[in-house]
Amino acid sequence: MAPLPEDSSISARSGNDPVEREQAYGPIRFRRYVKGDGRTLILYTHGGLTDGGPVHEGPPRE
Amino acid sequence: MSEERRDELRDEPVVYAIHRQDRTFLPAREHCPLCPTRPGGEQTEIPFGEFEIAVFENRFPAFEAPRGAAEVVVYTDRHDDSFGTLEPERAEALMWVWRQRFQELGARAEVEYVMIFENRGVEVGVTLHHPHGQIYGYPFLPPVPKLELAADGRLGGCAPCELLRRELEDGRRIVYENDVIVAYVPYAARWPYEAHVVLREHRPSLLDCEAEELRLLAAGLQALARGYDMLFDRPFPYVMVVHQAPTGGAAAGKGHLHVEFYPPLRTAEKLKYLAGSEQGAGTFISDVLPEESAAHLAEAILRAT
Repeated sequence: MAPLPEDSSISARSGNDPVEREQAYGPIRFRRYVKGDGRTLILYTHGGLTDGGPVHEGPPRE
Repeated sequence: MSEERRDELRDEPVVYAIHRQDRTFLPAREHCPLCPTRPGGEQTEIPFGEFEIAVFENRFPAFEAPRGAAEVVVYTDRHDDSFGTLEPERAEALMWVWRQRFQELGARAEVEYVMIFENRGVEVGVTLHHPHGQIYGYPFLPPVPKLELAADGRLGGCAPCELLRRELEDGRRIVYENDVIVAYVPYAARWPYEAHVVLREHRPSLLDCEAEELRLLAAGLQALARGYDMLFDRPFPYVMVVHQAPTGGAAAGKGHLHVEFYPPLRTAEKLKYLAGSEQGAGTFISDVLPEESAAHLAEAILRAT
């Protein structure tokens, strides 16, 4: 199963910091991040289909 | 922050979330905030090039801590998918995501009721087309689950268990079934193609389900969603709501997991509107008998498989 984005791939400058280690829940795994505006984002994975890959920075949406 | 008021005449809560007036409204595909963030593109809600399932706090919440929660659940990074067209493994994983969010939000002291739902189609007010659902954590027990719990008292036990028994005995309105769930147009359906997907066994919430039950629940929900799309050969708008036991207050843990679909179409082009009788008297007037719509829907589900 491919890993979710590692801590090292999420930079503080992106404004999306992981706040916990990856957790297992039944057949799925998840990792929690804090978005630049303080909101929580959780990425879930199962079955090794994909991982999030590197974070992409860009101008924030209005 | 939203403001809660009480309509004393109807004994109902009304929530004012005036900041939602400015929420993103039907953006062009290239500006979809639920798509992955492309290299060199503007940052979306999910700043990664690909993902499987993502959950984030709603930027325009109807509820937020310390008075509840509002989250967005993005089913896939593929913009043109739908719940019905997800790979079965992804739909099964979504059941686990729902379960995990129900558990975490329900554990919060102020959250009395967790409601997982999906609005599909502009006909029901969708503002983003990318396949997604939402979760509200209500800081009170809303009227509908309160009414369902009251039905338990009238029917002498678990109301969904008793209603399922009656539907199985009658049989005319069943549209799909597997070893775990039964889907039917209810005897007193309010919407022409309303359908309820009910666990055969008494399960108050997703937390009480075995892995196989979650797998077959996902299969049943997808079969129904695909059947809806087949019915009029068009993407079928609906509101899908997961009904579960309250997570706080005196009624915590009492309920029966089931999923209700409220589709507004009565024909391929005509909508059922909530008009005078529905809004003024609380009495639905329907143009279609549930037995007839169930036959059409069951046939569509068969054709979609």
